[in-house]
Amino acid sequence: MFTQDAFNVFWQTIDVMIKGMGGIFLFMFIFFLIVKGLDKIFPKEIERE
Amino acid sequence: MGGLFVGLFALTWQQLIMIIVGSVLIYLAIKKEYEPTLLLPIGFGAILVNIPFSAAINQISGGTEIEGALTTFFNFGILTEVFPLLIFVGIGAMIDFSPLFKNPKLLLFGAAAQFGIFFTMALAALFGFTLKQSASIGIIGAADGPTSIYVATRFAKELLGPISVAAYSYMALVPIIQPPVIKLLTTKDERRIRMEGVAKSVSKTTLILFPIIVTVVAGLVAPTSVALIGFLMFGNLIRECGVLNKLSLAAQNELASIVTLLLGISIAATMTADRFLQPSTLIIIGLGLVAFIFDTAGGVLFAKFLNLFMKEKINPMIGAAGISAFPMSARVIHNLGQEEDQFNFLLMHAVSANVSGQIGSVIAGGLILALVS
Repeated sequence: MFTQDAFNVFWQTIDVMIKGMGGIFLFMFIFFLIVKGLDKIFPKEIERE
Repeated sequence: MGGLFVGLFALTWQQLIMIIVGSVLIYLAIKKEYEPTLLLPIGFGAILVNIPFSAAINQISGGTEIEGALTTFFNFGILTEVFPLLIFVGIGAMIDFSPLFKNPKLLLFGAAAQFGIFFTMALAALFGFTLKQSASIGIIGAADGPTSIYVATRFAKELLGPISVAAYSYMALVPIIQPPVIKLLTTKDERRIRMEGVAKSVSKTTLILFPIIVTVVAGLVAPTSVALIGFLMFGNLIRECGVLNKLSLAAQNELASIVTLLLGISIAATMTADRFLQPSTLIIIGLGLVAFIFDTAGGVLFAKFLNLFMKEKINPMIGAAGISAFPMSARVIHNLGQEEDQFNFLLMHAVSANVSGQIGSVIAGGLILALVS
């Protein structure tokens, strides 16, 4: 625990964290655009509650 | 006569502890109803494999290896990833994506609430786990059993037992884990924020196209995620196409039930005393809890961050529903909202975030496979 090797792996996980979180947000944003796009192309009724 | 008691005399204290562990899992499944579909088979399997000379797992007798049934199930269903993927078909057939279309911006919470995965992964690295083991431990935070099993099978088969037990136990404990974290990070006024409901009817074409487009997009951006997201979306397409109702019901019920049973008992093949009774098991179980706490925190804090810029405020508790534990997390958020204000109906929004979490967790699994491989 907390050895030099552990810190080396830790910095790798930080790299994965940045890319991973960025990637998930990117994916979800693309899905958001898909949902919005489908919504526009195939419109539906809207009832305010 | 002594031959009759050969098993009894060979029983070690470690095996006895594992039999007790198995019994506790069965107790939690039956008495507390903690994910019984998984914890009961895992618990019973743990007993099966820890009986001395158990024929349920491979044994060496007279120099030859005799294959045990559970080892066969494990090799066929888990190592080949068949069981988790078939479960994804069942889950896909159960998911109704229409709440997502009612409030698509809540999709972002399905991303924010995956933070616990990466935080825990980093923490696991500090405890001396390798990168692949850390990734497998972190994915407990996906709050999605099949994804955890899928990633652990690829990266750290030796940790599959404790990872599965932690993932399914904490999924069952969401109503206990999430409320204190949410209360710690939000004020009473924030928890009282009301959100306007929008009831929309979603066209059938949209619901059919969504799983297909998502699979293609996910596949093009991260091909390693195709199996995970593809099987989930395949199940959903069966549900939404409208011409495979029998198959859809079979996927939701018979397929999901049978494969869950086999998955649970097969995982137990890895829960032999020599493998399970390690200090790493306790660390993994502790880290699993950290993952769920930081998932919740990630979602809540992201909602608070968005509120800095938004005219129509979001109740920050909705962010916590961005985990995959469906529909438990959505119910927890709704109940918390009603505790503060009995006329605050957050269920619909929480369900939207929760469905986003189901997509987010699978995407997170796919990305981890891509980034760590």
